Amino acid sequence: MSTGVPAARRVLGWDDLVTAALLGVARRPVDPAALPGEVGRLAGTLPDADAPGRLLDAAALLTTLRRAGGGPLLAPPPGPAAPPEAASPVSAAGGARLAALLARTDPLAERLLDEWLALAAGRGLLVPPAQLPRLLDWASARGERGEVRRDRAERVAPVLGERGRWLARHRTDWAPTVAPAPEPGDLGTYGTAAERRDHLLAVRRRDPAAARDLLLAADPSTLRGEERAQLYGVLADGLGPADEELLERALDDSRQDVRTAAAAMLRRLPGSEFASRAAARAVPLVRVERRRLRRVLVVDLPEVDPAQRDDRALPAAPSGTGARVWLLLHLVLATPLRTWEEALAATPDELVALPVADDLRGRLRARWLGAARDQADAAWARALLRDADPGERVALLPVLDVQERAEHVAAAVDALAEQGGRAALTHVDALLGTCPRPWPPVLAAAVLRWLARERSTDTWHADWALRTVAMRLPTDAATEEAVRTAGLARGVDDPWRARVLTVADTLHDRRHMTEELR
Amino acid sequence: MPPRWTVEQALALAPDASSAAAGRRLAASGSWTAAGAAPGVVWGSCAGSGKVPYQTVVDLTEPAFSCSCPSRKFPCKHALALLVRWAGGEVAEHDEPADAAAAWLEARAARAARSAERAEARAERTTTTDPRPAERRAEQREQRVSAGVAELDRWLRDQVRTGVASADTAGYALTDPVAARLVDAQAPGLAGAVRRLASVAASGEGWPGRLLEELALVHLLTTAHRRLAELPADLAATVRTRVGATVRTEDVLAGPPVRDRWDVLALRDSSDGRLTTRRVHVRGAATGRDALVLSFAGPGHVLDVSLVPGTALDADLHFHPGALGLRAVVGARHGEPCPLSAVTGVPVRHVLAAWARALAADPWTSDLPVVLGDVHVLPAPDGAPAGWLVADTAGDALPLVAAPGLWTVLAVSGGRPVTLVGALTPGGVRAEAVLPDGALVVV
Repeated sequence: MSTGVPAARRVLGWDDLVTAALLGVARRPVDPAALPGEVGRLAGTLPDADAPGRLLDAAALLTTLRRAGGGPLLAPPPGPAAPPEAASPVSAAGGARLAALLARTDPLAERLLDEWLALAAGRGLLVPPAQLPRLLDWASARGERGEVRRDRAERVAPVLGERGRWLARHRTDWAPTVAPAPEPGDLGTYGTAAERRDHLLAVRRRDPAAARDLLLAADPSTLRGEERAQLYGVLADGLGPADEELLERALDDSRQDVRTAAAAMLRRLPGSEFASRAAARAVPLVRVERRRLRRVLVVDLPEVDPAQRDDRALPAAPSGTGARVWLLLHLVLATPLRTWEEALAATPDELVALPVADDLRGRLRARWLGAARDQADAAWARALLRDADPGERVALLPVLDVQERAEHVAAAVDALAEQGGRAALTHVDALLGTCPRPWPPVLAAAVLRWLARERSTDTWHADWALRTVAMRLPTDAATEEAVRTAGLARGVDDPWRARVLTVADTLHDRRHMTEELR
Repeated sequence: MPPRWTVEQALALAPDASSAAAGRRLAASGSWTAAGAAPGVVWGSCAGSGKVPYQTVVDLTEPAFSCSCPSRKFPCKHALALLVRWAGGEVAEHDEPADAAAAWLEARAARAARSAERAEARAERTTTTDPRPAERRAEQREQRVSAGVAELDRWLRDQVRTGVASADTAGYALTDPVAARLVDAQAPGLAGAVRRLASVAASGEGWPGRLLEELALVHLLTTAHRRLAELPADLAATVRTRVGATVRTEDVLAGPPVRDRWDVLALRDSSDGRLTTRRVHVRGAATGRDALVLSFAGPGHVLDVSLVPGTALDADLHFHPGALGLRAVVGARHGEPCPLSAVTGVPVRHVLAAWARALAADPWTSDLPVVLGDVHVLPAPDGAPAGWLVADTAGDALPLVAAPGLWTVLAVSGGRPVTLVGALTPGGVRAEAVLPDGALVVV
């Protein structure tokens, strides 16, 4: 704005006035008439006889001159403008709701924001430009340990549009949100370990075969062992029979954790050679015998053979467990469950109910549970669910299809609501977490009953469960009305009243959010 | 009856973002019963966490609020929610207010009538009786102010005589006693200027130069006040206002109106801890004249929401006396708010020329409303003082004062030339609103 009057040797300048003011005119006298040009001439005509007054008058003249007389700066050439958008922005109402959500700091707001972003991305809409700075600030906020929050960056990426990406390039702290496009380079030369993993994951999601090729081409000498196990773990995303060959080769890897990871993934492919080999070894060991008028499952222990290739994938046995028992349990874990049904001529329900000799029942059951989950076997899952404890239930439910899962959870919620207490609340939250949105009517009805009846005073755990409920209940007006009625029916001193009404408000918000983003 | 508000206007009354969010959600919930609206008033009952529902009434003319909830926020979330519901058309219209609302309105009207009577009686006493006591009071006031100004002048000279080298560490202890005496001397404007000296001294690198600038300008003001009788009328009015004399709104409204279609371009609130000042920048569509409408609110009062950026108002503006003729008060309105006219800006050189003219008329100018046309917002080149510039198509640029709004301007403009509404300060342009394609975005 101003260039200042340059100080020459016998001519005064602004800086001399400043120095005189700092030190005091008593110590550093200054004659304003020595200022150059018109200012000096005017300063010389000032009637004020007092030295400080003359300094201040001259300073006032010079200040006004500097403020008014400064010329414009030279403009650098403008940079490239943002490219035109291919998609359209959300409506004004949608933009206003985004602004309101970004202004809130409660945990429910974060979940609503995720839903908003997913809805907008799903409809191919973009964030209005005026909201971009706040959204980019939110997406670049670092986690508790200062780490970059890739999950936020991934959610925001589809709705930024050309304008958002152009804007993000202007600030270094917004850079993580503009994820670099995956390059077809090889893994050894690319970034940090975390970036390599993210890159491989991105490639895997686009083209599973390309990810396999990248892994094969990876030079073992440049990648540290622990990292290779992590990279192999990426294959779990979108696992399929085409991965079998690579995983078989990984069973021969020099690192234990790579072998273990490969075995864990091969267990999810019941049609693989690995699974057949395990079945061939395990089936001869198990038979049903009649003991004292009951049918009992009898298990022989296998011989430990150091030459067995598959056994090198086993992690070390925990202390207190014999090596042969450990081997047996792993063989059971890897065997396709159908094999048992054929070999022992029984249904899953019958097999699960059988007593087991030598106190092996608990451990055997745990392996069958793991196999049911790995192999996504719904029949065995149903059989195991009959007597499952809450932790087992949460592990098994994802195997069932959505409707059946919802029915199970609905029944469990009704039972737990009778029980009450903190443990029950945690289980309710875990069970509800297994059922994705939107909840079928049977589950919604059970949850409504729970909302009306729950009496627990453990509000911290309750809040977790209620957030899940608020985000997954259907958003139609009838459900909202039912929840609101349940809330208003509670007494005014009841801590659940306000919480249930908040759930109703959230359903209202979600419904309107969906309509605004149409 | 004042026109129905929009949801945005209702939420603009909220004292903070969380109240606005709470008001919005409460408006949506089914907890409202017995709500109604009549000309100038809205009322309702809201179920809350207590046994009895809260009764809320809003008098739309001021606006004024009454709610039986225990919240100390003003207005509370129930009042906000009620207004949002009314703005959304979810409140039944009646001709007459309900009993409880009517009772409150009557009580308020009675209080207002009583204070109006007292004011009238006071005015009558002063006009019908001897005018000399009033004149004497005015004279006494003038003497007090002059004495305060003279004392400040001596203090300024003392500072410069002994040197201000320790001002950056002295803190407010340096200026608080002086400011307090100026308040006693009925010169609050000078008191504020003196308080600002302390914050300038503590402003970090380069503070001595900035402090000398401020000291010199305060000295200029005291000198001007001493010679008030010799100054032209406009400049004298400016000097009096800056020293702290208040001009009554009634007197301003009695002055000549300037009728135009006034485009509301920008709105900015600032607070000094005690008082919040709302500064609205309007521009006449026909006259092209810029004006600033100021409103104030102490704690417990709401700021004026009648001027909404992005709309235009056909109204009479009455200008305060002063050298620049910027500050104005809204008088008669001649219609509902209508859409903004096409706003055009000017290049950097025009703005700088206007700035020089403003400084010539009022050397204490530190905030001039401007509209720049076809400008880009760019980072300053390396080597130049760090920051951002606003550059026009002729290749001239001005520094842009760093503020979060800069990013909104950048996002909205997308690197293309836009019209920028802002305020020119000695440090550069402060961005206040931007018009990318005719729609105003406040930053």
